[in-house]
Amino acid sequence: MMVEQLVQSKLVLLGEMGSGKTSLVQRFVRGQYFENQESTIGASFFTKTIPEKHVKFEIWDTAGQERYHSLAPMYYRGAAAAIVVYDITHPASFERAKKWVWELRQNVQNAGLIIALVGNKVDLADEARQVPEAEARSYAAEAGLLFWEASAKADINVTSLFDEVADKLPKSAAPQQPAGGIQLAEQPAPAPRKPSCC
Amino acid sequence: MQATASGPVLREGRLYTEQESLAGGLSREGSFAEQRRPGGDGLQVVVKEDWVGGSGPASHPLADGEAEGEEGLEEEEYEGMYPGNESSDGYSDVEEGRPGRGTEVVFVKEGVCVWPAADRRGQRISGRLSLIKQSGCLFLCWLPYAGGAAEAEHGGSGVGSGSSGRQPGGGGRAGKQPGGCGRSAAGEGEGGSGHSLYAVHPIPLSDIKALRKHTPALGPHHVTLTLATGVSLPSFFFQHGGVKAFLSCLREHACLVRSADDPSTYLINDTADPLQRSLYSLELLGPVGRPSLAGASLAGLSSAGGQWALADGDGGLRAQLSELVDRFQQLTQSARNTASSLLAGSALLGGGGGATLPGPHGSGSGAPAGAGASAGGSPLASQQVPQQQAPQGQQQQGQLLLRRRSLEGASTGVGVFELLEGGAGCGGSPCWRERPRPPPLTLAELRSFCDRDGRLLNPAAFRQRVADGGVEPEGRPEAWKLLLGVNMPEWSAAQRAQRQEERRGAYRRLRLQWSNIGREQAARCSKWRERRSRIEKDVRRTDRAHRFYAHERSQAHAMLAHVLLTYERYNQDLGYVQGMSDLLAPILYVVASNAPRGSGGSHQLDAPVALGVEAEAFWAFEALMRRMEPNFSSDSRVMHAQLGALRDLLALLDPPLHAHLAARDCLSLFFCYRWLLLHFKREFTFDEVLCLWEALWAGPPGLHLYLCVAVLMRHRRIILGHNWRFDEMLQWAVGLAGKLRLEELLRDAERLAAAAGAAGRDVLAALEAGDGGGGGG
Repeated sequence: MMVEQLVQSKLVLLGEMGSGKTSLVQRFVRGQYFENQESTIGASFFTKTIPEKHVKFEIWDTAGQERYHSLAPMYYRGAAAAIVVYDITHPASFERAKKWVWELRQNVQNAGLIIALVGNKVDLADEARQVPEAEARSYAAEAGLLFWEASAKADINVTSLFDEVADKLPKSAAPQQPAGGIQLAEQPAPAPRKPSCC
Repeated sequence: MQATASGPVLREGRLYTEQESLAGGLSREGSFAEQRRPGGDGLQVVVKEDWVGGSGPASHPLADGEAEGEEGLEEEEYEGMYPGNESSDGYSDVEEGRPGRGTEVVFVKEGVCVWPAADRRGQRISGRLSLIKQSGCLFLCWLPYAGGAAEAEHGGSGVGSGSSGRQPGGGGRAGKQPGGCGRSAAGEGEGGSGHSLYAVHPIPLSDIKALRKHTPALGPHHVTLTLATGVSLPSFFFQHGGVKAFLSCLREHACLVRSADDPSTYLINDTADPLQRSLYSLELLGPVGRPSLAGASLAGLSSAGGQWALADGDGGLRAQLSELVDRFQQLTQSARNTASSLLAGSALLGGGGGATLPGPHGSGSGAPAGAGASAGGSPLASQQVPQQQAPQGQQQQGQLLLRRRSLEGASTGVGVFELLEGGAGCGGSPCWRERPRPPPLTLAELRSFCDRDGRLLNPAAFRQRVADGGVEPEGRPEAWKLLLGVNMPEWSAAQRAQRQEERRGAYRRLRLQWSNIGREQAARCSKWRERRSRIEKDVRRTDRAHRFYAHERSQAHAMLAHVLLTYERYNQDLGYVQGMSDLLAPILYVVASNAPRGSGGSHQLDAPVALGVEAEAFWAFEALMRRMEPNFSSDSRVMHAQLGALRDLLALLDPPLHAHLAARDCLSLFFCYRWLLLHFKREFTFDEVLCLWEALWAGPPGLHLYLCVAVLMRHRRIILGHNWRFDEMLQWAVGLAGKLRLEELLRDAERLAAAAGAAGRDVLAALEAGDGGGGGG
């Protein structure tokens, strides 16, 4: 049997806290969902191979809150793909997603970086949607992003999403920079705005 | 088990641990039930006095519109919060790792007195004498009654009632005094101002050398204990008899040998440790004159050679025996000194197989082997193939003895370094945990640290006591407030009560700042809505595996949210940052679980009580955040500084491991980030975290950093045996959650802190100077 070489691809998940990054990864990697998935502190790392696409994803799942923003560059550096997640019931998370896209464009040298915009929690679309699909889709098209609405909870589009990312990866990709090469010297991150009082 | 932490388990990532902790939460129901049952009523009264205090329930804001969580909750939901016992199958190693477990009171005698003045003209101090068994070691404890003679008749069981739950008789009368450890009522006739100076905090029986029984024809029988150091404790006068019962109980748990010279004197040693018993027996051979003991003891020393056992029972061999005894006595001292070090040291041998380490004096198969090895002149720990010593280790301070060995079966060719420890425990700081871990501090004992006005007499001794043994659940609210600095040691009970009232008022005012924001106003402030939504998001997913937080929309969730919202108002520069809910949850639980439940058997707190709980939890959290806030700075500067200090400590304590990580670009140590940010909140079970945090707060500065080093060194064989890159290291580190053994790691950390000595203090001082404390002390 011919064994085709697996392409190892670093993939990073970014997005506002509580948008469902960890749940998407858990659904994709293990096919499971936990209602009250605890928040991610720092980062977690997962691997998942899609044999038929000869891709081994090395997935970095990050903490979402703005406060931890300064750590993000070390996680997305060297990534082949980024999944930027927002919560379709939470407009602010969509705005945050746009910022992430902008930052990735600014800071990631890899011109071939694949960015997927994902509106999570689409199972709640009927009762609580606040971000219209059309708006997100047109933004994604404009910015050259893959776009999916998905639900980790209801297992909607999760596999399709990762499959499409895998398809878009350059097939004969040169080995990515090893993740071990992560450097601590962080890139200048925009300072969080001074919180204001209500 | 560490051994399984490599390979396939790693792939499973967080999910695996999630399931574990979920089940772990269920398995702990039993202990919770125990905790509430026996000591219950006495404790509740204490807190009720505390919380309800003088303030009326009339104006509490819990009744306002923000308190959605408390309304409409069905009674059965609360029943669900406290389900019956669940099987703990499969989680035994989690349970084992919990300090405080296995505490058993094996003997209690009320009304045992001491006379402070030698001539007994002074006033006697009445108290409770108890023998407590903890992890196989027996401890003797005598605590004076603080409140007067009435308690002597009451026959309460303050000691050990919290965690063991095996004590009949319910809470002691002592618990019904208001104000936690503070009390103003001085005993009449008994318990002068200095009574607490005479308290005998739990001392291991292995520290007691001899017991002398006095049975005068007139007056109460009494016993005098002489410690191994030669110091005698004040005689204990059994006012109501009971010397015989005391002795027979001692005999059950320890080896009592009547002296040949003086029939009223008994030589004692702790039988819990076969090695200890053997060595003691040998020493006692001469004075006691019972050669048969030698056989029994020698049998325990498997590697000591069968020929010695021949001496057993044969008087003709007496001469040979005494020579052997001489030889043995020579090495007894060094064996005893090194055995405990070896035991603890071998714990750092890369943790293969997750070998359970007995306490330094605890029983365990490692003990005889260690002693045998040291008798043979090669003080190497067992289990591994010896050979090939390398000199590198000796560059360590001269305090830390590291020996290099070829690693059996490992293909890396990288040597394994073992922490054998030479005098580390005694370098600089007091002998950290050289002795068996004492039972947790009880509320009664905490009180015995205070004077009659409730001032903490010796804060250092108190902290040491907590660092050594932890605190019983019912003593935690008071002890934690002292440890965190919410209460100052010099405050009397009255002052503490007054401050508590002030804190409640202050909390209430802060709380109004958000609880007054109505819907209209909220609609006009997206910032507020954002922050509130973040808090609500995290509250929903904080410690859901723990019974206290298991139910959404429960009172616990509401209180958690309220305190975080109030803190957000209080510290707006910082606001709410993820991780804070993790830091608050244990504190709120400790405060709330010691508060009185509502009438009618409800598990719900009455509203004014709940408000008091929130207030106390808030100020304890605020005190904790003073230490931890730098960790949350937006530029992560302090976290980088802490990781840098950790790097330095690792270089100091385990250069090969440091080099291994350096060679693989893992020296950022960023896989330790969560450990440092939340002080291992996510790595241990909820109940373990309670034990861990009080140890960190009471222990030497920077202990959490040493704990990180200890975790890495415990797994050094796994780490050195793999060629992991950073991402794999992170995956491994995240997967450790729920698999670590707290007690042995804490002990390691304390030893490492002692071993690092001045160089370690320099590292911490540099960290402190760079304003990188981040919870250091």
